[in-house]
Amino acid sequence: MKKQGIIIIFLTISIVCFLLFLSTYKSKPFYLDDKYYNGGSLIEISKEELNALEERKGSFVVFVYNPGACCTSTVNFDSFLTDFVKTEKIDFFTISFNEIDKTSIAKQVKYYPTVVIFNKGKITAYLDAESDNDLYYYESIAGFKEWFSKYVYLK
Amino acid sequence: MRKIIVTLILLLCFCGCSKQKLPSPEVASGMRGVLGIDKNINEETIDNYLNREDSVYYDMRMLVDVANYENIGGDSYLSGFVKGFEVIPYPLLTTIVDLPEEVGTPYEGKTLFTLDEEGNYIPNYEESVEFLEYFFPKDKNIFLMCGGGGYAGSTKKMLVALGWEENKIYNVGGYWYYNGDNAIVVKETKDGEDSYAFWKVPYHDIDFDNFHEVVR
Repeated sequence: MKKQGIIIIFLTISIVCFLLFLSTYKSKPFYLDDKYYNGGSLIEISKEELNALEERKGSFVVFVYNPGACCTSTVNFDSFLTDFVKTEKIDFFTISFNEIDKTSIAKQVKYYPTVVIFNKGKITAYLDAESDNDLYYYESIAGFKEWFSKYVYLK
Repeated sequence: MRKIIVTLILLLCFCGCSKQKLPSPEVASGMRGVLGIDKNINEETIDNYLNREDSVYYDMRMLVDVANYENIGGDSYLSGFVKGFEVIPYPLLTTIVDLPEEVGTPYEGKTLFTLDEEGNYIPNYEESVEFLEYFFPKDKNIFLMCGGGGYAGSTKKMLVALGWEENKIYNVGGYWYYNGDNAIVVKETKDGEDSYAFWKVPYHDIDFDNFHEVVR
């Protein structure tokens, strides 16, 4: 009986420690594939090309833009991104959200515009257009850089 | 026993006929909140609130927006809308401001109102306010949509500034995010060529020639 109690306490402590670890765990930044550095462009891709990049386990960034013709806030974000990739000399892919159905992005991301970061073919992070926490990252180059640098090394 | 059955039937009829109660407008979080898109009645839920007699429904896009959104990867064409929504183009209501340079020049033709630097909406025609009151009755709920939620948000802002009750106006968001059962598709692609069935769109053009300009 006493032995059972010790096991239960031990298991409880282990689970609490594991949950604490999960809540404080932050993934380390990583490098994108080399070919995306020293550029500075937004490169339009199709759904097929996106799927191929994932299958090749690439590490890359995709900007999913909103094709709506009446979203001035979205438009400002486009401008920030254009400036960001030029300043940091880094290439981002771009794709219209009309194109992304039946892709891994569509399964996870609900609203656009967004920037999705892939590490070895898997989605590591994305900006959430419905999150107050992410609003700052949408509103300026400095904000976006802060978010991006949490996941990706800038050269 | 008969009384109970009749009461039950009446009760069922009443429940079936009564409309879902509207939650008060509440702005969504994040970027969507910046556009003023509603947290509760939006692209995901609008199907539950269609065909209400106490409400009007408008999509605020032009059939073809004259601003060059292709330069930023956008789409200038109205490619579809939600059934029950009629289209009144926001650019014909008032001045468009804050478009980025890449988009070029937006619609610069006649408008019902001019938005001045202090944020006031100045009527350009004697009929300007009457037009709004006709299409956006103050005693009804007003549901607004557009492509991404921007024009809808701007329309709400304008109406509120002109005296409409904020709590009766909902920015439902953008047709681009709509996956419900009431989409009317306008854009058709055949053999790789796009075409637009604009004849499907209940579109309200504004005939400025029949209005009377305000003399200042």
